[in-house]
Amino acid sequence: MNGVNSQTARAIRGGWAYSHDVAGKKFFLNAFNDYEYDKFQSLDLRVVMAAALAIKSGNTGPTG
Amino acid sequence: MPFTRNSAEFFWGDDFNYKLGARTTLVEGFRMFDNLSNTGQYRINFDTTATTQLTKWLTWNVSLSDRYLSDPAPGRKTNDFLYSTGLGSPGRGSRSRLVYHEFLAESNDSRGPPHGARRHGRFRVERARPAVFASATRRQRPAAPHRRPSPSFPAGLPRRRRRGQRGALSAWSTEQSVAEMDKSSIQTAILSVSPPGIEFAGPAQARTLARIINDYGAKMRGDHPDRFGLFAALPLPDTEGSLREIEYGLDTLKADGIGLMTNYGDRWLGDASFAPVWEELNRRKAVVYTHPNTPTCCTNIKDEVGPAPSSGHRHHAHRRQPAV
Repeated sequence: MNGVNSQTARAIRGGWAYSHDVAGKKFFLNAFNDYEYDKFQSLDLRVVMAAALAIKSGNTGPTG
Repeated sequence: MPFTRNSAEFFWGDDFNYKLGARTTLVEGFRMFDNLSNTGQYRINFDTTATTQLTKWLTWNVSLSDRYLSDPAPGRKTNDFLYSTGLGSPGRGSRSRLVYHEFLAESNDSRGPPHGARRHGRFRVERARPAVFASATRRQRPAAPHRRPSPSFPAGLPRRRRRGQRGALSAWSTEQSVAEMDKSSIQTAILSVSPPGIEFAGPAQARTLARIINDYGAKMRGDHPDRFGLFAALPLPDTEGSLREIEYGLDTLKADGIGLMTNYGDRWLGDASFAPVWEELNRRKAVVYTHPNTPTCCTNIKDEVGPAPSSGHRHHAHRRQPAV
């Protein structure tokens, strides 16, 4: 703008995730699929496919 | 010149939800992705969002995010810090409310006023939805024995039924309760006994019944540790039996607290005969939850009004406080 190089942030992120309780619901399996576009990173598209085993570490009280 | 990277990554991180106030929730997420194809390289995603509910369908969101890449595209920086704000719509996925959960169905009580939120130790206890959560103390109907995994009743125990309960009770199962909780976005429910309690069983069998109920509740909690808590039942007005059950419930079963009726017959909780029980509960700094009950004085006043809870319950709940 006015002869000065500038950029406007432009990023799009999306995806899905699924969690399934296992082993008495202390643990859960998690899978997600992310898609990312980020102009600042010169990133046209990042595709992430992931799976994980996770543990619920505590209950801090009601949320949401 | 566009180029493509394909990498295998190992990731770790955390998700953390915290309720900041009545309408605001903080959600934090952190992920670190360690590159296994090009070891030593990694990226970090960090997001924290405060969501404030403005209306039923509208939220105001404020987010702080950080994206770090140890090996960015040529000419790009390793770190981006982002601040964003905007309006959104609340999702239905969050399990938000911690509610108490009753063994006995209260189809009539669902028409009454809510008990309101109470705080018990680390739990914020709200009234459950007026859906029917049913019985661990009723005998299964032979027609549907698989649907309600109730404990056995002691032989000869008086059968007591109230209008409107039977149908609701017969349809109950733990799985159904969990499904109802999911449907209502309830993460954790605290199990307790609702009227008529266990006093009707008589002094001798009330001890047995209290033990059965508490063991059953502990099993439910064990089967679903993040969905159920337990307020142990006591065989009041039997103080000696209650002292034993306090010890068993809190020490052996590790119950979250004790569940009491506001009155037993025409004796309210401040009755002098209950003093040893209160002294023991005070000594333990135990959490005590009380449920309104219909006293003997006020049962069957009119033929068409059953003994089940109605507006009198709120009155009896209030009467409990000066009594204690």
